[in-house]
Amino acid sequence: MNGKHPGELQLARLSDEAAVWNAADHLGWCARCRRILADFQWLEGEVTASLEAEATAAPVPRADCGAVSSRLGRSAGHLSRNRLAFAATAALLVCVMIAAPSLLGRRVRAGSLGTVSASGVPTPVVAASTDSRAGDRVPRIRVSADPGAMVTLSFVPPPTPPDADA
Amino acid sequence: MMAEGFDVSAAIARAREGHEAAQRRIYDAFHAAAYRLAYLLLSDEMDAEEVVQDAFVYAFRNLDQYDPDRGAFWTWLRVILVSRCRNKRRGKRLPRVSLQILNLAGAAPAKAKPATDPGLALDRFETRREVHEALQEVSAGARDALVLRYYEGLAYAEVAGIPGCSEDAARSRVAHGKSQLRQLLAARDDASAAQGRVVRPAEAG
Repeated sequence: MNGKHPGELQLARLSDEAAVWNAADHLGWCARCRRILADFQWLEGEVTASLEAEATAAPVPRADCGAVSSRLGRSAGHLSRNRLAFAATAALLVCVMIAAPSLLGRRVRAGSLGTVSASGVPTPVVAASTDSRAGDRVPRIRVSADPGAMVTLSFVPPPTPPDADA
Repeated sequence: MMAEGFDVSAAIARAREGHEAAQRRIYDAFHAAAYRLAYLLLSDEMDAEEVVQDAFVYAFRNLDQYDPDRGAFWTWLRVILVSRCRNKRRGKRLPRVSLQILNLAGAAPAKAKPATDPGLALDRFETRREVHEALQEVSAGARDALVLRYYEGLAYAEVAGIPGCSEDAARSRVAHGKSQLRQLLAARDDASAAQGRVVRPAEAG
């Protein structure tokens, strides 16, 4: 004989499915647990009846598939618009990628004719003169360098003021 | 439980191809059942209608995901519907059901025997009303489990499959729901004891 009362949840489960807990011994002598079990069994019937009555009394609206269809249509239209926009963007990108190198290449070639590349070791300036001819508006500066004459500048002390005594 | 008299699988096959008429037939066949279930879970007409529409839009858009070998269409739609109901209810306090509905619920019990004695009929009506009100106060998860178990008549394995929990967890939810209901009704009994009204037959016998 099992003298320990089962919990309420155990009884609630037992009322619905006898296999969960074998309580035949206990229920055989315990009126309290039998009453709780009867409560749950009664409650199951009431819950079923109450829910069915509530569902039956629910004001079911007229089945109108139009709203669903229009939402489906809208979403399909939206989807196709999105796809169209995506395709247009992709096509534009491809066009840009194809056209850009040829356009840019022409510019680069055109620009490279006028550029001067500077390279090598700086050479000392050996002569500089300004040339302003009558016809030129802007005087030109000519700088010529002798690449062979690499002169190392010697240290020149800064000028000192003359002695006051002298 | 519904959709009798027409070939659901044929309609689904045609709906997959985008036939609007087939979609309409499916909608007409399952709409009422879907609405009733949503109404029981949400206790709100507008919300139920919105959720049913959402569920059908989702179902029609994802008909390719429905596998007839895994279950009936209603089983699949019910999972979508219950999930939508949960999302709808999340963060929203449930409103109370109108008195008109309560009266209708009490006036048209589905399974109860018709009472000839007016006193018994009144007792039954009061009992049904109290159970109905107590059901509104049960926690959302427990109510869902009770609705699926006792209104939809699902086995525990099926109840468990809808929220994706274990079978034991589904059993616990139903048991908790019943326990909550019993406690709520006991509190109401205590409150009405002063009026000398016996509510539950289990206590009388």
